[in-house]
Amino acid sequence: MNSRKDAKRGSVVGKKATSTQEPQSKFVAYPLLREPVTTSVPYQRNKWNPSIDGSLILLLTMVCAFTRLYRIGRSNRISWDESFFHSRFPNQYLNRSYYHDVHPPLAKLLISLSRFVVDGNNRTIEPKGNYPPDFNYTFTRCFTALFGIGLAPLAYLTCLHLNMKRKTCFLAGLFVIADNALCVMSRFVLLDTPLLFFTAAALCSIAGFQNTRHCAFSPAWWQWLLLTGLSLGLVSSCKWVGLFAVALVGLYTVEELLNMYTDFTPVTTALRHFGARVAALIVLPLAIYMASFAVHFAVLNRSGSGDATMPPAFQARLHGSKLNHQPFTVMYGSVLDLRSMHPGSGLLHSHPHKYPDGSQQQQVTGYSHSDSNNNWMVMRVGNGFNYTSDPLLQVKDGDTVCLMHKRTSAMLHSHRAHKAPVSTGDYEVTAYGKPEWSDTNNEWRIEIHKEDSSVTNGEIHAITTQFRLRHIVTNCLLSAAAVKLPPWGFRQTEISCSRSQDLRSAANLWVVERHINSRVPSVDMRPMVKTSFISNFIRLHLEMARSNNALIPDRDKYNHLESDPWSWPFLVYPMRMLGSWNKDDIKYYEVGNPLIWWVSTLMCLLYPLQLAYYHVRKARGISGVWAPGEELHFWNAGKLLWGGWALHYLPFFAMGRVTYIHHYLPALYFAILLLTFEIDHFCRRSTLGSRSQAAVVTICAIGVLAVFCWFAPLTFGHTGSIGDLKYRQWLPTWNIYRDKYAM
Amino acid sequence: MTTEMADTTAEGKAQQQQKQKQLPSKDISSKAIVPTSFFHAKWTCTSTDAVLLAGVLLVAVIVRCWRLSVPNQVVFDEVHFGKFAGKYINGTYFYDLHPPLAKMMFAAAGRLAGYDGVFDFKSIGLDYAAAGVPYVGMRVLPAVLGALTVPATFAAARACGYGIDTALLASLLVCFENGLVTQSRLILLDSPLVFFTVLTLTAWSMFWTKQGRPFTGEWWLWLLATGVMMGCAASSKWVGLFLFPAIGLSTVGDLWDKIADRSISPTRWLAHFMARAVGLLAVPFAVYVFWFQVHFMLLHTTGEATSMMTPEFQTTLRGGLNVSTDRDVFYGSEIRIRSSNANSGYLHSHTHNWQHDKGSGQQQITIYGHADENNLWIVEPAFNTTVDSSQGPVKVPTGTKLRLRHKTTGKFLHSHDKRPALTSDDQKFELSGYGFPGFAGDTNDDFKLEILSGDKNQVGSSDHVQAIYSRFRLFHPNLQCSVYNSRKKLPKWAFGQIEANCMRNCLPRMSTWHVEYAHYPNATTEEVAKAQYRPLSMWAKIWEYNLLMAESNESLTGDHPFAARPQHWAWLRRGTAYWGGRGHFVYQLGNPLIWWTSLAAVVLFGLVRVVLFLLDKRQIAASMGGQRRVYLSSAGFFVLAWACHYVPFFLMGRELFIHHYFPALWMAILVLAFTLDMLTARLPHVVRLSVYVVVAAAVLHVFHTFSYIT
Repeated sequence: MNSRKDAKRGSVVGKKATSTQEPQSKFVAYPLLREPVTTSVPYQRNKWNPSIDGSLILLLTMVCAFTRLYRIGRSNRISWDESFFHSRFPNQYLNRSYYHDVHPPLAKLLISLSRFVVDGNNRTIEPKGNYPPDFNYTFTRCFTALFGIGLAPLAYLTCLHLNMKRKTCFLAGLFVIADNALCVMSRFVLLDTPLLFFTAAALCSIAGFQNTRHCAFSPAWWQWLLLTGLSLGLVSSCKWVGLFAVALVGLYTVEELLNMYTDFTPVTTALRHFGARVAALIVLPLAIYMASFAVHFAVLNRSGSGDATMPPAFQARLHGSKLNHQPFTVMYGSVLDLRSMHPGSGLLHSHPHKYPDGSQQQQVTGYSHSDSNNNWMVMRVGNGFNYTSDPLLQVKDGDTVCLMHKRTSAMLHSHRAHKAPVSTGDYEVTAYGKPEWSDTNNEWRIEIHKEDSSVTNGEIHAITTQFRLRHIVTNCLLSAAAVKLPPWGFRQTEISCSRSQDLRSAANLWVVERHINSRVPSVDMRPMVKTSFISNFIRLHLEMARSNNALIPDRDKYNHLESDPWSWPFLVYPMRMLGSWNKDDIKYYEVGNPLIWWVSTLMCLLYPLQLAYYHVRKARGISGVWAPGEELHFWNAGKLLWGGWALHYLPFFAMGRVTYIHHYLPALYFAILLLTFEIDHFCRRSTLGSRSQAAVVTICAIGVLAVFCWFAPLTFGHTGSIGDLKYRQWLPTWNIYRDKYAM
Repeated sequence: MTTEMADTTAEGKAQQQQKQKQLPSKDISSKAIVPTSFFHAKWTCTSTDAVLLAGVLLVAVIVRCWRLSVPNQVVFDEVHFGKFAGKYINGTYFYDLHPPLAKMMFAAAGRLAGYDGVFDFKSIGLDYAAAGVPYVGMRVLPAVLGALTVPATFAAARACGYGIDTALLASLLVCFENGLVTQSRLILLDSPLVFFTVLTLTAWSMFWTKQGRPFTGEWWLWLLATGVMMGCAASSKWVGLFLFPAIGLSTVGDLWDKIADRSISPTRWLAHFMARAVGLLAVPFAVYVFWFQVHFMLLHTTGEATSMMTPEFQTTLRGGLNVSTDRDVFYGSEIRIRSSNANSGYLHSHTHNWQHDKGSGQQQITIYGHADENNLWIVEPAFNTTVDSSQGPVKVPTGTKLRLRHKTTGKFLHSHDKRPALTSDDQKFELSGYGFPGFAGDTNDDFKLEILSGDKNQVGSSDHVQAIYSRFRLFHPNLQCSVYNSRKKLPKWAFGQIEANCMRNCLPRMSTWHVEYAHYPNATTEEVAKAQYRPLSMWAKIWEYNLLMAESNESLTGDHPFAARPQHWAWLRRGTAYWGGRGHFVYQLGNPLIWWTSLAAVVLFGLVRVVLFLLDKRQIAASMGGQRRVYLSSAGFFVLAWACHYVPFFLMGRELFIHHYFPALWMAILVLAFTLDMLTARLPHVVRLSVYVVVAAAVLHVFHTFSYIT
């Protein structure tokens, strides 16, 4: 208060930095707070010290290994998502049968590899219950735990790169070790552990890269740049959450390049910088990402559960697919399954249910599963053709044909009089009439769009020929745009006749997926079809995005596994990792170390305010308390850590899909390092002596370790009555003892 | 106030700094510590301005009121808003998903014009003249409000520091925008909304002209005017809420500059902060609450829409729900069970059976909104148990198994492993009425009643079931599911009633029930404790109404043929057909010239901003012929406001129409005028004026071309 009074009077302001800085200023400064007498030492860059750093890293690694591996094989039950990542998906890789999943393949491939190493490839693990007694599940668990163990030394190294004091670097490693959630998640075979490891590796590399920016293009600089690119490629090949790390590095790079622009860096140098970053941070990760998919396609070369999500040409190349062998050239009288080229539209389908409005004739829909209601017989116009005895006649480009629904003998029909039920700009498509009636509204013209085969002769071939079906009377195109019908259409997709003459739109293109004609010999389709890796890659990504968005939670349903993003940083809803919570079960509970979670959250909320506070002080001319280089350090380290936290956390609010508490773990890692950074910052800026600083660090370490031990039974597995664990429930929402709404 | 370096010295300074090889922006605040966001124009209304204001108002009134009586039929959403005006006049309660102010204004206009509230605006195309409705009087209100936006535009442009020519051009553009004209000729909420939005931003621009003299009377006047108008805009339609981020962001920027300004003491800064908090948050909030209070005072009598509200709400209306029931529920009591969520009804059954594919074909259980005999259930002990009532009636404690017998049909409430009518989810089971004479029932008739919460003021309401006070769920122990209100409408064979089923793991939100009516037939004593709903306070009513509005807004999805997604608005892909008949029709379509050029102006601003950013980074001064400060601050603010009124729509799933773009359009029009000013600033005066005249003529021509459908 004194200083303010002094300032107002405009008299001698004393020994404050504020006035001595700008004595001639015509403004009078109003300091916000009294300044402490600073003892902060000039800021220095850390140098690698083999003996100290080496031994500290070794120590951290050993302690971490103990917590991650201690009795890791104790529970032989398939826990939490191990059913997917340790049994179901590796089964598919080992059987080499094609499947569909929302996650990219790298981590699953690694897990499969470790299962292959320990167990060979001739076993299918049932995805529920217990592991078979002769199966060495501990090996795979240890394998993924390695990634978890790596987290602690990485945290130490990252802090070292961010030029924190060695005490606090060590503290960062301890925090990572002492977080119960990080620990329990790395004790099971899940994708989160590799994801976390590669995220941490990306952060560590970018921090190292930042630290070598003064010696651009040196070997060390290249090393960290390439390592950053490598980790980004690996992390995004594990789970799409890894893309947030890509975003962090991207933003960092943009800022760096902008600074070069501001600094009048010569154009040639700037271009070299730009080129190096494009190669290392865009080309390299993309190559790794695509390589992981290339391996995925190469391994999965047999027909399996995921076939239907891919185009027919892809399916035809899988061993054992129904599409491998079929008649090649379509003849009149052939029975066809027609697939729309539009992803998600499915096969042309009809069933004996009527449209509720419009013409009220029989529905024609798109249906994604194989079914005899998808069978359509291709017929000539008029009745004068015997399909069993007359000579075979090819269906050619430009022919006018009729399509008969095999099960109901109704003809594919469209008319100008009625609008399609959902896409009201289009005409309705129905199944109507009998084959022997003559009705021009049943006539469709074949227009070949593309022939992806070695044989291109204007005939329709199974799988390889893409064609349009044009309704002769109304000149519209048979179209399927993956629009869902209301419940009366069983939520199948709408088929309409599109008046837009978009000849290239996938919605208007069709292929023959299955071809049945007993009079034509079957051939091996595999040499006939051509597929490209790029088109398969893109198609698979469209499907992954679709299935990801389809994971929508039911807001009325109590689900003790799901939780909303707002609750994560405050650790409101921890998760039981087992469905049954009885006395004899080994019970694992995914709860974080509350001390670490709550304090790190506080720091994440505080950092922007702190930044604003420092900015205001500087704006008001109170800047004497920074040690040389320290202000820059505060920004450089803080922006990576806080930015990483925000980028790994905030986007979840915008996601409609189901979210779980371990989606927060990457953000937590950043928050833990930010917490360490703030402790480091506090030690530097405070008046504490070196010894007191050591005491602060020790107290922090003891505190978190004590809390870790307190919750350790839930992390390492608890047998016996859960009631034995008294006082573990720190919030009323935790369901350690009982579940309020569970039934 | 020295945002940019003065022109003459800028280059010299830049070179100097280049020599010094500073490394700017490497640390958190190496940039010049000066306020950056706003230029304060100083405008006071002169007599010329006054004459021009009156002039543009006159033109605007003529344009808006020209042949206002055509068409003489109900057009588009006049269906709703004309009807609501009538309800205000009659005082009958209704529910609508928009806040009340604009509708009350129409009611007032209708009252003044002599509308008696009888005509019901039932469908588009009904004839006004035949019914003797004074619709012209009601349409005068939006027309006048629409006309007033034109002089307000003039004032806003002047307040932003532009000359008379640019201000006139801006008001002309607003005056001859076909979309705005159509909208303000009809009984629709958008005209009041646009009016209040325009006035808010005009007042805010005026406020900025007083920045040099803070805390004076005029300063306060314009600050409070901004707040009041903002409150009114939000009370007309929720779109008005987008003003808050726009004005909020500019305020935050301003306060951020002020906190760095060493000539302002912390106390004074705090005063600035508090003044804005009061003027821009507290005042609008108070205005919003005030209009709701007026709304509830006007609508004092119960009406059709009452069932949308909770029973506690309904009891506050005259002629509304007036429940008085026996408080205690005993074995043998007749009870009526209500789903405790708003907009629902009673657990119901009737002598019709389930007809869906995977169902049991047993008697239907539904939720029905009206109290009748078929909602009555009798509490009976669980299967194979008895309760001894010989010592007097026995209360029903929480956690006991019981059965509910439907009074009129005698069937028990029952659930079993069959799929319900409207879902194939394996977590949900069908509820049915089951049983017949001579059949004792089975354990699938048993439900466990678990009280979730009681009333604090009613002792024992958490231990024993009390009508109204105890909120409980009905848990089916065999299937581990609870009776659940799915809020889905059943098909015609179940009379379109609401589906009830039994759901596993459901949250209390839609599975909480209470007893609304209880009666013990064999009561021996006359003196029984009574229970009734506690009427809601004003705050609770406003809160409930707003929650319901949010819910209806979210669920407003449909397939209106003229609904349009936001990506198609700005370039005017198509309009909305409002009305058609006898050879002419009304089609909501903007003035394409204005829509396209205003969008281009907004995009241009973005480009200019980026270029300037890059130039500034290299310390290259670009003063844009002295226009930089004025253009960046004024167009910058209106582009921000435009973005706040446009971008959020992309995130909305509800059904949207092109008229949702109007507030943003007005902002874009101002940006257009400012851009034209910036582009022509360095041209000779004659050339500049002729450019303006050409633009105005083109706009008038296009307006004229489309005016026959306007």
